[in-house]
Amino acid sequence: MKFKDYYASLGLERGASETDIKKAYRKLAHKYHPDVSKEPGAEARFKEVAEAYQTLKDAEKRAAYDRLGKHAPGEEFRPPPDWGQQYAGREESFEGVDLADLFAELAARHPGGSGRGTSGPIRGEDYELRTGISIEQAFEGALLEMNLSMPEYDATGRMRRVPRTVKVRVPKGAADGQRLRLSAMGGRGFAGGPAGDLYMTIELLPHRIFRADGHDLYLDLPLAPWEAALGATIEVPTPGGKVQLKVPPATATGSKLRLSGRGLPRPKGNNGDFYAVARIVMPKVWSARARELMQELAAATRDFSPRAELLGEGGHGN
Amino acid sequence: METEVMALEWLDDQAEYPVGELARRSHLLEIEVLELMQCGAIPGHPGRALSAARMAARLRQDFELDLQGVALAMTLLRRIEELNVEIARLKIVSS
Repeated sequence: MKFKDYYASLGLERGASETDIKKAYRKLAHKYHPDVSKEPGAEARFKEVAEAYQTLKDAEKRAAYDRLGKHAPGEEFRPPPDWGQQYAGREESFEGVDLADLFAELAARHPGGSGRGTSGPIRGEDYELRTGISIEQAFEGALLEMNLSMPEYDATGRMRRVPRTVKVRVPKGAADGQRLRLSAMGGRGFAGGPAGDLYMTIELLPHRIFRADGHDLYLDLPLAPWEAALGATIEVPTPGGKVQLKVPPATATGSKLRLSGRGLPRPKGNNGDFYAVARIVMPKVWSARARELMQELAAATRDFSPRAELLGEGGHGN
Repeated sequence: METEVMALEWLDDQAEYPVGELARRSHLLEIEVLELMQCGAIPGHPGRALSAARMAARLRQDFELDLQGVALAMTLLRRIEELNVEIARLKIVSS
């Protein structure tokens, strides 16, 4: 069994009061709870914090934990000889047992505890995980290999973490936040109970040039002023390869040019759309000739007032 | 143990759970699921109901909230999510 320093997880000393424990937990929960936090790595950090709190908030579990002594985090250790009988009810191997599950079991054995007894079949635990895929993987489908630490009942009804490698073929069609269920791929049940399910939430990883909104994709498309003014046929990258895009004359910054059906595929076929959002960019260096041409252009379009709305002209003013 | 999985199921508009099933899968009571549905914290949209119910159970346990607190937190979190989507959309339009 691997040691975990629950006090350190909460940033506390061993002698912390119940109030300190509660305060520290609340502060960290607000910071790292995955439903609330946007911090990177929040989910893993919160898991650690919650596990520590589950044990330390309960006087009986905390006493049992304290009796395990102090070890380095991650160090392989055995509880004192009489610990198993006194707290876990049996003396046997602790190998592969997770501390958190051991304390959960302690709660289950306690009268009025929230756990279930171990008589009769019990359905295995559902397992939830979030996994990031790239926009290319969402477009083409992906084979993901994931190393899980699956909570499973062993033959005696004790919960153990079993390392398991699961390969999942994610078919094309996923969008950000898409959930998938893999039936009966969660933890094994006990005494003939069915296995739990595995739930997977897909997150799309940020992409260098594309942005996804549902199954639609957006690309920021830089245009030279003359391309925007005169119109042009230009080559743009999409996840499915380069396509020719016709930019109409007089395209303004912010105009969305739609390539129908070139976005991400949906599970049932028909793709989302691809939008190139025009953005007019300027050359940094202007030759004398280019500046001269611009001056001519300015002279030739003197009646164009780009800020008419700001100045209350053009029928919008009072 | 290594398993290659081919059978996986999209959870979308097709996945509809009766209240009892939602309760069992989220470790909430049926009456709690119903109450959260009534105030809109668990949406009627069937594909989202299960993840919302699980989220409600998590928030209640992890922040030691009562059901009304859970409902309020979920309403506000959803509002933030909608605003984030709107901000991302506006950024694209204005860039």
